[in-house]
Amino acid sequence: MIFTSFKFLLFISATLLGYFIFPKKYRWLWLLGASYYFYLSASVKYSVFLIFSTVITYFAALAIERMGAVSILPEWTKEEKKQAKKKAAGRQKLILAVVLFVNFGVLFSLKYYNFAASSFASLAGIFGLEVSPSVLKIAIPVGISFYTFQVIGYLIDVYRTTCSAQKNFLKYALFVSFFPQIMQGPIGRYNELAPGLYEGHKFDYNRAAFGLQRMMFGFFEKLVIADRLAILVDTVWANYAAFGRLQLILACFFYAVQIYADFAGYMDIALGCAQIMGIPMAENFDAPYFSRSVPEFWRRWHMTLGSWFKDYLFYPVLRSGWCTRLAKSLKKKFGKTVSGNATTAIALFFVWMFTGLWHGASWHYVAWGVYYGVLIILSMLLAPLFDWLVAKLHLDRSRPSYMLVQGLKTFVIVCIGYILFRSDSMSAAAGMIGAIFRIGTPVTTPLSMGLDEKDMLVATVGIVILFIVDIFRYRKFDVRQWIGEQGLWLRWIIYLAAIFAVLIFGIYGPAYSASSFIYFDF
Amino acid sequence: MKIKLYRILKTVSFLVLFCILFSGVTYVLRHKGEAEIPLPFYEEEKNSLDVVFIGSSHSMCSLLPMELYKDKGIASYVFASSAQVTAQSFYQLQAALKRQMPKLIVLDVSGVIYDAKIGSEEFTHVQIDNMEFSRVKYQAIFDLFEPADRLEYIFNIIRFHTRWKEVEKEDFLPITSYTKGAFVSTAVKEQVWEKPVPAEEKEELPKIPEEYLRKSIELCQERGIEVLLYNAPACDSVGFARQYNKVADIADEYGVQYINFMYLTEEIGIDPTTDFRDEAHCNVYGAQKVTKYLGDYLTERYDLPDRREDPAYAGWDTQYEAYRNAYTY
Repeated sequence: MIFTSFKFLLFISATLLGYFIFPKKYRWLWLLGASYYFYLSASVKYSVFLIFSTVITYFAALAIERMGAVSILPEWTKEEKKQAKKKAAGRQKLILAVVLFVNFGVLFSLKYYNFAASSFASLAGIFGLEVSPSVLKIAIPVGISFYTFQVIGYLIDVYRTTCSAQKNFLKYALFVSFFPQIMQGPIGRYNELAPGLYEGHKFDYNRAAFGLQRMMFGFFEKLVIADRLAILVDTVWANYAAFGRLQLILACFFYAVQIYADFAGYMDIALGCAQIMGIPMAENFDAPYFSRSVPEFWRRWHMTLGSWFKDYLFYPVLRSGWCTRLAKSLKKKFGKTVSGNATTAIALFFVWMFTGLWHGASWHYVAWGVYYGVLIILSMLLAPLFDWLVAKLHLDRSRPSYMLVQGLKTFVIVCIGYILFRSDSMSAAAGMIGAIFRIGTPVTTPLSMGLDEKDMLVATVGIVILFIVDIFRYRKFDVRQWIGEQGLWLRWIIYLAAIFAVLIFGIYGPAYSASSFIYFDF
Repeated sequence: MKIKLYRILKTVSFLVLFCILFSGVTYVLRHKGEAEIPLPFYEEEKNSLDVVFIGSSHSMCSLLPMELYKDKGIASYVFASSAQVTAQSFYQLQAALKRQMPKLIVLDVSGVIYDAKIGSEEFTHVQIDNMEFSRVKYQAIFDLFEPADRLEYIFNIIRFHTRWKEVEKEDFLPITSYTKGAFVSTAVKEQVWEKPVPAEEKEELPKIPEEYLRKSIELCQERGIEVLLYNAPACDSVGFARQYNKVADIADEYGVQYINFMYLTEEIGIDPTTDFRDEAHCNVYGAQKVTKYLGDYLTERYDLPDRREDPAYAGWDTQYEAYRNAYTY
């Protein structure tokens, strides 16, 4: 069930109504039922994987927690106590490793097996070996990348004792399957998300109004902006060689807006739903295109994924045995700075390669991840050089013009990244980048980019609205609060304008064409 | 408690305002082609029509209710939409009977050769979108369409919202017509009339249209309304003559009359070089001949009142004037 379907509107109405009718104590059960209905309506067959992940991590967390509570007898010697703790820690580690392996194994087999096999075959081909691996004919279960990360995060948290294991299986199943986040995140942390899920919240008029507003804005972002721009972006990407430089650059810009409006729109719908029920969920975006550096962009874009990688991959790699050993030996030979930079760079490289791969099983995603990895490592390594340059040129970093240039630079870098991200293959990405930078490319060609003037006007107005809302977000100014403080009529005008903007200008439903309504078909 | 009540009142008012705006926006956006045929039906005085014609473009092109009134004093309306097949007509009939209690229903059987519940997706919109809000409308939607297609007939904004680009002044105005459901066309396209096979040669009808044709007749008979089956002259129908001949058996079975104009073209003086607008439809000149014949037939066979002297029908005379001023033929 997708958020932008009529079925979802019915579903969410029924779910919200049921939520507030149910006795407070059991509202979480109603949510569990609704969440499973939501997921099963996407695919009954693939829900097996969701249930499998839920069951295995549920028991693993319980086991890890139980083993952590080592029973130590007072008569034991210090050495015996140490041994017992060590043994328990070893067992915990083993369980964690096995369960991580199994969960990632499922994710890998379903999402990456074909990619890995075909990559291996082409690698073998380079050495003259002919390998024809069998192809796995199975669709990827929806949301698997999100919920797998969520359950693994939970398990590691239990292992690290930053959260205690959930004893109630059904409650745990709700944490994994909560419908607003199962398809596209945000990837929730148990400590942050779970308490809100289990506590029955009473109906709050203002909160419900805010939630609805947020959902409405999400629909606007998705249906009016993202899906409209998608037509242009798809047209240009499908036939990039036929377009001029300016058109290609515009398409990159529009793709940046499309992917943001699409993803952030989905988040606004998800968080809006949850807000109506009083359930706090993690934010995933914070005006990312106003970032002044690439690392800042990644702190504002898909925030829950970034923080997941930071907590469960970056730091573990940095603190791993081999990395600390490497740091020590480098420190001896080259000093503290080099050692610190080198190990951070290694950890960052892992993070970005996997970030790329997480987005899809294809080399252009890997290249996209590595692109960011290299940029972030470079910006870290070259930071002293930039500082020196800024000082030499007497640039004032606090000036708006300086910040603007930084912001634009970051946005351009992100847009170039999107070429790698959006293209279907590495060669297509290279072709597009080549076409933009090649001297012979015409500025424009008469070919239509897929949207007429009226659609472009709507898209532009939509982008301006999104831009303004993001300025407010960036400045921490609460637009909804402001709307809420206005008089009834102005508020209603704003609400109705938003609803009808989506109903009229949204891209949905079967296309109407006047030509098929010519008289007397019969 | 006071706050609660105020909030409930506020929410309800907002929803009401939304619904009003929603129906307005839906009306403006929707494609209105051909709406002037069925839509003014709802402006007719309740239970004022003596004859209602139900059918497809064949009906609206071959019948002139205004002339029927002028010549015979019969108050009638062509409640039709293009490409309307028999199952659709069954619901159009029910929609008509919610408003009118006519003495006679004339059922156009042109759709009986199509083994489908709907003629074309687009023209079913013309039919359903111009049907008033009632249970019949939803029964029609649920019967005629697959579940996935139903929603766009309940909320046609789903289909037509992209028309925002082509909305004109006319889209905001109410729809008016003087023709009582006739499509008056003076276009002429010369046709070659091929003689149909003898009326005795017959072929079974497809299942769906036969079922709905029977249901339509039965519905009228249950309500004590007389039924006349009718097939308009159309050059491209000749190839299906055997099936149209089969309709006669069904008419006999139910004891109703059937006029198949396919065999009456010579008698009523249809000239294929001047009386058609295309291969499937009469123009107004053909329609005059069909209407004339039908007028005589109806007054002879059915007990229909002459409404010309009835003061309640004075509006019909003024409408006839407006009609004649609007159309010259």
